[in-house]
Amino acid sequence: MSICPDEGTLRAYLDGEDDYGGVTAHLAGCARCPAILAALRSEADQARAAVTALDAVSEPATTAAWRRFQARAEQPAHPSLKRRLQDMKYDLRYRALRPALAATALVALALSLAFVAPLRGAAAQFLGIFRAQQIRVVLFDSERLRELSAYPGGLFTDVTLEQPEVVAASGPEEATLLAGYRVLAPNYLPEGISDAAVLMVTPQRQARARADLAVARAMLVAAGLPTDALPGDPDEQRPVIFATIPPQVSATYGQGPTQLAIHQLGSPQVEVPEGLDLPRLGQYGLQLLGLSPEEAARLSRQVDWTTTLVLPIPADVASAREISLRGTTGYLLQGADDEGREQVMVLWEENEILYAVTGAIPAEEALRVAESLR
Amino acid sequence: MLTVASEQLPDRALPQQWLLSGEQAAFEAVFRAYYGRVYALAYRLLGCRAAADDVAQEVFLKLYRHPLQPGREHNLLAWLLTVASNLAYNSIRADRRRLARETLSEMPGQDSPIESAEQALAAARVRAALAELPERQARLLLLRQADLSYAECAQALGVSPSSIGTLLARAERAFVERFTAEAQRAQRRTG
Repeated sequence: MSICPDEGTLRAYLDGEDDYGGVTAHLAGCARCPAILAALRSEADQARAAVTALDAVSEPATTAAWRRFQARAEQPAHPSLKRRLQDMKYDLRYRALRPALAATALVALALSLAFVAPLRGAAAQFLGIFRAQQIRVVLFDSERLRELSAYPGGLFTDVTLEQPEVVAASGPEEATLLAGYRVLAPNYLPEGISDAAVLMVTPQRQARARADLAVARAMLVAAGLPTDALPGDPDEQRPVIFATIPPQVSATYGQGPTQLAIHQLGSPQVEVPEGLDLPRLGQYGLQLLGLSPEEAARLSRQVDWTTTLVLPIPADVASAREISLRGTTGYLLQGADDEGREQVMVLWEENEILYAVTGAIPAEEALRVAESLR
Repeated sequence: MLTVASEQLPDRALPQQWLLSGEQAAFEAVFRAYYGRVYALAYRLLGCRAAADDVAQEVFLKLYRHPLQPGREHNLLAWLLTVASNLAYNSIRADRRRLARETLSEMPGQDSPIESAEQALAAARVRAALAELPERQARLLLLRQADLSYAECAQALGVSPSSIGTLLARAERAFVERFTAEAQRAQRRTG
């Protein structure tokens, strides 16, 4: 006689959920399992009969409900909810780490990419489209960033980023359906932080920016760097860079200074024009941000530009160190927010989803939360 | 004013027509097709018509204001029922004491004039038993009663489909134990 199936298999067999021909054969020759199956059937029947009886006491009046729905649908969203969404977006962006850090890590990834763009390799040269599968954090001198930002004309112009309405999700299941990817939730939270999450889903957004190659050429010349990595076609001196940023899910736990946030973002897809020598431009971009030629060349050799999202982090905003977690490599960033509170961010990519756990909590706690996500 | 023509459409065509066309004309058909089941699930949990209608209305408002992405495979009913159970449980967690008073002592005539006292009390005992279950077990029972498949239930609960059989067996056993105990307590109270 074959080994007795477990209770879950027998229960699924009752519902005909799978091909359980083996179960049928086993039942014919087993003295124990038929009795177990009968008990399961009895419990299932009792539960169904009891719960189904709830329906008998109330019948919905659908037509009246539709009329009520019509009236509600024409009203704007509740103003207190709108204000709450605005407050929440403010908190998410500015409470944790300084805006530069939060933005480059989470929100306008296409813009942060564009700032040190173009940074992609062989695949992009053919298709002009790439998607990140891993992260590389690079610390740079923020003073250099300010100098570049002040460059006459500006390297990037006509920058646009869609701002769709953020949606409140009732739980991870709804957030998963809204985002289109599996939203993880923590099994561990630091003591004193409520497990009641506020979940906000930002729908997919499009971003675009126009790069001024004449400005880029002037920057490179001023830094003593070659310009032959830029296309020389005079008709293609202001190409457009497009980015598609998948839906983002932000979950906040607790309130006030002890608030913890977990952000999840699908890997952005960026399109750059053909004709750019992207690895070399990436190397020169890193030098413009203050890395030495040797450091820039070494990093450029180590990074697979077709699959790596390079995140520049101002060195005076945060420290960063590489860590191992969840079977992959991530980063632990530590810095102070605008109120001087020490903040941490655990950042990693997993299955083409970017994750960040942030809060004014000890690094060990943030790591434990990150490891507990399921 | 949102006015649309009501159409009789095949069940599977309802969501796709609305999602693909983006036309409000199809939304009423979706509402009429699924409102009853969404309301029923909310009522099973909350035991109050007004609260169940509030939850059902909120579910359809979410869908109306933020449609699921067209061109992708969607099980709209599973989405509606999942969101409804989430909202209902949010309501329960927000006011547990109010729910206990209503499920155990709500008398007919206030919410359901055509119900008998016996029916209302039996329903209250069922909801009390559900309220004693771990939330995941109660949600699984209700979603299965709403005829969601194992795969749909697994997605709604964030577990693997292969674990649904075991979870369901435990949920049904736990429910029957609590429902039976509740019925015995009621019998002792009435003598």
